[in-house]
Amino acid sequence: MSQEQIDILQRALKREKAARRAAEKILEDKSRELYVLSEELKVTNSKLEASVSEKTSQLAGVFENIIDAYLVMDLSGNVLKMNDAACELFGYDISEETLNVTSLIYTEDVAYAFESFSELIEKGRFSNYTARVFTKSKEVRWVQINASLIFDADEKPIAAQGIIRDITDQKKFDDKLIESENRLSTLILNLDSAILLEDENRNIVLTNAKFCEIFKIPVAPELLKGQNCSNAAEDSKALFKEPQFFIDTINRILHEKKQVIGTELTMADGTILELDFIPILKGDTYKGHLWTYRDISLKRKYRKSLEAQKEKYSSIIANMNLGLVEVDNDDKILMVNQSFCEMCGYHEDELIGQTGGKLFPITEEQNIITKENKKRLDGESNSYEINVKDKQGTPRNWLISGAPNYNLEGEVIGSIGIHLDITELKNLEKQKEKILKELEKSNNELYEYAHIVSHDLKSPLRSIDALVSWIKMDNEGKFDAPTLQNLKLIEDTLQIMENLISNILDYSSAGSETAEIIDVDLNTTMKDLRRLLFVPEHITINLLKKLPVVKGDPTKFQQLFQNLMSNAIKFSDKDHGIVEIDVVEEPSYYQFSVRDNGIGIDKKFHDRIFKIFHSLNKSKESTGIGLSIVKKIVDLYEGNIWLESELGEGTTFFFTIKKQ
Amino acid sequence: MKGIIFTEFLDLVEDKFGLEMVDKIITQSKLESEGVYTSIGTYSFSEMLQLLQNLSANTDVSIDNLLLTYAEHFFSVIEDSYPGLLATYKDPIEMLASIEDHIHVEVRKIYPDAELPTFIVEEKTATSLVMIYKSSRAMHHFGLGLMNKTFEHFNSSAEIILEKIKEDGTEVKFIINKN
Repeated sequence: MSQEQIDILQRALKREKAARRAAEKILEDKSRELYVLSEELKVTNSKLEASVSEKTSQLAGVFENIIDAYLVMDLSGNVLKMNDAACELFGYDISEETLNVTSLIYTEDVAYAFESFSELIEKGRFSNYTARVFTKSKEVRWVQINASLIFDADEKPIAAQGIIRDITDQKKFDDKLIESENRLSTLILNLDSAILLEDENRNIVLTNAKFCEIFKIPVAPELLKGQNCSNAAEDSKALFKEPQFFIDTINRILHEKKQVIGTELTMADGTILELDFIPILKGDTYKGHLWTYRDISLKRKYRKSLEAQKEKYSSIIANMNLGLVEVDNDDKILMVNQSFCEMCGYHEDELIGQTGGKLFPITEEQNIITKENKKRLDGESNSYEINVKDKQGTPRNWLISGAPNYNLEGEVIGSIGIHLDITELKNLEKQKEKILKELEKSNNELYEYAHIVSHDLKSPLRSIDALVSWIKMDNEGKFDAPTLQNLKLIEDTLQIMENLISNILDYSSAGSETAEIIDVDLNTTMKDLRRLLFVPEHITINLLKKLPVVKGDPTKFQQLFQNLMSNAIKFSDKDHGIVEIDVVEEPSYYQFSVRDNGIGIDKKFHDRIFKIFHSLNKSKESTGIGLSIVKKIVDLYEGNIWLESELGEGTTFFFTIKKQ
Repeated sequence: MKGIIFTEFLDLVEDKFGLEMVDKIITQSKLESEGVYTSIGTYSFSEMLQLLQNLSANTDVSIDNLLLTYAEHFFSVIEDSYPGLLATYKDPIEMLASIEDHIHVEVRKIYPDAELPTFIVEEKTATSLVMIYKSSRAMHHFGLGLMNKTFEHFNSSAEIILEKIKEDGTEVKFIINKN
């Protein structure tokens, strides 16, 4: 081996030794380091252990004492652990019985429950699971659950834990709140006032249909939510009669931020709005404000028309000629009009507050007043007369029409009486009665007078007639023809005179109801008349119908038909004269007719012929009284008489007799 | 640089070129450690660089080829010392792809202060792999040797193309296609 080789080996050996020592030193250092490290680890471990046990006991305490229910289950849903709150909530005691959470799930929430369980497995947790559960006693409770998985050291899920909060009461409360909120918002949406709720930044929180209507916004109110109102006044100013005033008002209100009630704004179309502004404060913080607009045009118009009506009626009341008095239930005068003051002579001040009955004593009628007042309390209107004395003591007659006065609740609070002074009318009535009596008396006197006069007038006529006949008998054969002719004329004239007197007597008795009223068969009357009247050969009398039975005086009916039929016979100028009697029955009267085919009566005389002493033909038998008698009898039986006639053709008289 | 790289390197030099060469390159280099290396110690990389340069000068073999040979030797060290680590893999591509995420993690458990290169996987299929090597040491051929041996270990082979991204070899792309 060469020296060089030996050197190389020695150097290599030296390096190996040095390397070993270096390695040993490194190992020693490492060993020391490890020792120190392990000592430190021991200390840290014991600290950790203490800390873990502390935390564990803290957690145990937390879970035991936690107010909400706490539950641990395995991944098949078997409950492993429950705190007292959970036992109380679900009603199970797992130290005595097994419990699987699936038996707690409310039937309708099963799908949701399994979905949430999948989420738990997948993501390791779920939160705010809100559903119903069954308790052991089958009671249903609303719960909110937050759950998470529990993992073992290998991060494998082994169980799940959850905190269950019983929100049944809260849920009920929430439901009620939602319901109440819904009701409220429906109410607001449909309110007749326009509502605009803005937050502090003037963004719309709530508005309603009426608002959109008034401000002519063509969208649903829900869509306006969140819109900013900073330019709203500017945008809407054209809708107002005075746009600048509107903007100034809104800006002033917004600047002052104070409550404003009932500011009036007039719109361009005449609508009158009433504006309220209510700031909303939370503590001292400004949170927004509420605008309310009400359309009061109608109310305003209504009030105006009401005032006009009131004005009208007040004016009527003040100016009418009827006295108006309003009294309360105690007869105390509350209101009078000018006419009543004039009627009674008292001034308004002297009347108000006085008792009506005391001011106007009416002792004799007191009973009536009491009775009428009672009626009025029952709600009846009535009219009655009283005698009172006015302020001057002059007796007056008042006709009172009274009606009860009601308050808004419909209770009688007094009465209103309308007074009419009928003193003058009463006086006239008395006067009329007196005159009637006087008239009746004078009529009777006149009738008696006519009766006496006709009798007294007839006897000298009969004497003259007797004397003339004696003169004729005594001078039989001595008088010449002209003398006899004159004597004949005297006799005729006497006859006419007697007829005249008899007829006057008839006429004066025709209008008086002297005889008793009996049934009169007009057929019998007609039979008698055929006997009584002289009917020439060439005249035929026809009865077209059977005549009725009427009530009255038989003599007067005979006079009536006799006059009309004798006229018809008298004024017949035809070769074959006809007189027809007919009757038509009407509900309340009979209408008779007597027709002839005689000479007829000229139209111009139709009015006159029923007047006394009016004869169209001067003849021996015609006194001009007959038709006057007819008229008088028809009047007595409340009928009418008229005629139709053609000269040369004939005449028909119609008359009616009222059914009794 | 870990001591094991030095000890195994010098063992390989001794094995291939004799103890004289070991003594020669140590003597020629200016070494802070004076050539005293233990596998559990840590030494400056400049010492390895000097040893490699002197070996290359004395043997006329390029540094890259020296590193390639050394890597193939070093793989057997790994095979002997850490059979469990290799046993977790069934496929060379899988193993190479997990250098950064698995093997280097295991290395750090034993040598916490180890200065390791980075291998970033750019593309990976069942039969191919593109990785970027980054290290201030520029020891890409050491990596290439380990890769060759990896395929050999799993009884397969691959065509490995090495593209320098940076001229100094601190950033290199490995394009590996399994045969």
